Amino acid sequence: MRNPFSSETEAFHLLLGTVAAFTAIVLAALFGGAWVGVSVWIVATAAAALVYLNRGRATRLVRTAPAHVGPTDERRILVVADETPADETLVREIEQATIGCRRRVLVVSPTHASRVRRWMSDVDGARALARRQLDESLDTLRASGIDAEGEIGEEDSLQAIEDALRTFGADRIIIVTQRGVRSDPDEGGLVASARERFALPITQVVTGAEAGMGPSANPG
Amino acid sequence: MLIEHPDESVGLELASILRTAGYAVAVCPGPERAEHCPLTGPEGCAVAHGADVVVSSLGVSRPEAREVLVALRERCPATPIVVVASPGDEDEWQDLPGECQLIASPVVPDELVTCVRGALAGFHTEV
Repeated sequence: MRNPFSSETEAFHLLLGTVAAFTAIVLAALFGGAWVGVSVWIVATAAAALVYLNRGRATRLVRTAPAHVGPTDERRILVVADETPADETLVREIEQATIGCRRRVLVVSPTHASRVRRWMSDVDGARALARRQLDESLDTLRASGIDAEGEIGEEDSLQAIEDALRTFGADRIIIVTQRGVRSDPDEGGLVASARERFALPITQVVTGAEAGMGPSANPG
Repeated sequence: MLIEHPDESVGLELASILRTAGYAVAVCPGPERAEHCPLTGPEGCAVAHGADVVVSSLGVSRPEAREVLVALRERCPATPIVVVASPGDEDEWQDLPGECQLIASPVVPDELVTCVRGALAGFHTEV
C-alpha cells in the first residue's frame, strides 16, 4: 500500500483537519439542524479534495532513488514482468547493462487482479498467473546463464517497484511489457509512470509479436 | 539527498553519481518546470525538509533560483547546501544566502562526492 503522506507532519495536519471538520459538522448539525450539518460536510469534503489535488500537482515532479547497495562493481537490475514473462530480448538487455561488472537480478511479477476480484479478496487466480509468469521468466534467464531471484509483487505495479527498491536497491529498472497490452510504449502506462517517480535508468523491453526494445528512457 | 536541477537528464546524471557513492537521492527540477515550488510556498517541501544535504544546480543568478535558496536557508537552517555554480558567476557567489558550499560546473564526479561528504561532515570543502 502506498503511503500518501510524505512526512509525519502531513499526517498530523490531516488529523487536526479531520478533528476540525468533524467539530464544525457536529456544531452545525446541533445549532442549525441536520441539513446544515450535511452542507458543512459537503464543503469540508470539497475543501479536502481541493487541497489534496493541489498538493499532488506541487509535488509530482520529485523523483527518488535508493542508495546503491552492494560492492561498487556490482550492478543490481530490477526486472518487472508486467503481465508477460521475459524472453531473449530481456536477456540481451541485462547482459548489455552489466558489461564489465558483477550483476544481481531480481524479477518481480505484479499480481494483476480485476477491481471486482480485489474487492471480493479473490486474488488467488491472479497470484497463480503471476507465479507462472515469474517462473517462466526465471527459467528463461537461468537457461541463458543469468542467475536471478524472483518474487510476486503487489497488485499495483508501481508499488511493487517501490517495495522492491526498498529491499533490493536496484541500479536500473527494466520493465517487460507485451505489445498492445496495458503498458504499450505508445500509450504511456507503467513505464511513463515509473519514469515520473524514480530517479533511475528505466528501460522498456517489449515481448510478443514484433517484439523489440522500447525507447530508451533515462540516461545512466 | 535532494538534487535540484532544471535539466532532467543532468539531474539524473548527478543522482547516479551520488547513488553510486552510496546516497539515496531525490531529484527535483525546481521552480522552472514545476507549476509551483512548494519550498517557497506556505506548505513547504517535505523532500527538502527530509534531506541531509541539498545540491542546488538551479544557478545562482536567476531570481527564482535565489528565492529557492533563501527559502531553503530560512526553513531548513541546519541542512547543508551545495551550490553548483558557473565559473562566470563569481559576483553572484559572494551574495548567496547563508553559508553554502560551492562547486564549479562542469561537475566532476569525484569532486561532487568529496564536496557532499564534506558538507555532511560539517566542514567546508574548497572545490
